[in-house]
Amino acid sequence: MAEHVILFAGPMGAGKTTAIRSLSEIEVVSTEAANSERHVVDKATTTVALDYGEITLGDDDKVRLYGVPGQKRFDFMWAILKKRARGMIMLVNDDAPDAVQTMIEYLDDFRDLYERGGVIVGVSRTDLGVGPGLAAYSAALQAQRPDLIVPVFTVDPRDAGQMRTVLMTLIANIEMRAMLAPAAEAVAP
Amino acid sequence: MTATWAQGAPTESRYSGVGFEPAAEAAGVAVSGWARVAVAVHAVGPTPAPVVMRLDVASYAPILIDFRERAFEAKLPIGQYPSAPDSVLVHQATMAEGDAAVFPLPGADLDKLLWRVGFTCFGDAPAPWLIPGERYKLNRWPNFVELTHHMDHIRMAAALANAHYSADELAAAAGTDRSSAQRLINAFTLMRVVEASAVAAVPVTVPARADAPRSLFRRLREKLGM
Repeated sequence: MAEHVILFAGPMGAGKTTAIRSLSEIEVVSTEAANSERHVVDKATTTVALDYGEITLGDDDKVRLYGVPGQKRFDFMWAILKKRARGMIMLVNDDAPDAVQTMIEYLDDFRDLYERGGVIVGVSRTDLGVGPGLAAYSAALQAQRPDLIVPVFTVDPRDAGQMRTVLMTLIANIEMRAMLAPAAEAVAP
Repeated sequence: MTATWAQGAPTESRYSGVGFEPAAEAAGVAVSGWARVAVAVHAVGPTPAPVVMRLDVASYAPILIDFRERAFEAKLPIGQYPSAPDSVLVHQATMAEGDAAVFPLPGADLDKLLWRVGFTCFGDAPAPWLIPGERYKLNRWPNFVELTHHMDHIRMAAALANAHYSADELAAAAGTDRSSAQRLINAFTLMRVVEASAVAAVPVTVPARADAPRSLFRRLREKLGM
């Protein structure tokens, strides 16, 4: 059976577990515990190992959806998962403090995926109008890597239709980039 | 000019003090309806620009565009405006620094309006501002979550995110028809989410079609019914 691993990353409270629930066709397996950092994000529980959901494609393929813990002290889990990952959906709250810088710091931890075009950014809570807005995220990404055009979409992780658009855009970008890689190498000096 | 309205005032009074004038017609381009809007919007140039525009669609409330904010305001969802209105008149005004907005901000993302207008108003023909021989590459992904879209649009955008294409090349790379590719390029150039190049190389190899049988995109699309 072939597997296609998609990661969901981002700071605590960004909606990773909710996003996986919106996409998964199985009951999502979550490993949550009491949130010991309520001064950071006011929610009762948080993911301490990972969330898992899946989409089955016929008899032989599965898209495996892994949510990695938002707290950086669990980053040893990221190292295990990112080796298997084909792409990553990075979620950030627009109204969180230093949201743009937080996104950049997370992407640094997933640099391999980022540099091979395997990242999409979903920004939630933009409707509140208190955060920097989509253009600020795109500008920060382009300042880092002008040659990489990373999709940055608004998203409500509770909305299955929106999450499907995000997932399909990620897959389209990964596949198109892979198909063009031989052409890019052929024209390189 | 200085706008004279206050926050909370009815929208009409907010722009009543703005000196709108008919937008100039592009020389040699005879257009009407939404195409007239597209040509006028394209002539404004890159945003933000100190320009506001009022679109008078026959039998409908005006649509207001503020290019300083990349935003617009319409009384109805943009999909409820007629695809072929009896007439559309375009008026615009140049704003001075510090002039207030002509509708309550943040308004709606201008891309929503330009996507709908640009994709349909020239049919299958190239937009009049396009130059034969040019290829196009994305410089910013449009926010498809907010746009009425089809999976072919996402696949074409993914192609444009990774290489320069003409309409014919884009159709071949994304496995879609030329009409859709041309319409998408019309819309994307109006939204200014692509850059044009007269010297970008032809792709050295023809990429495999994204809807090839083993494509994860294709299988997920079928699975999710998109």
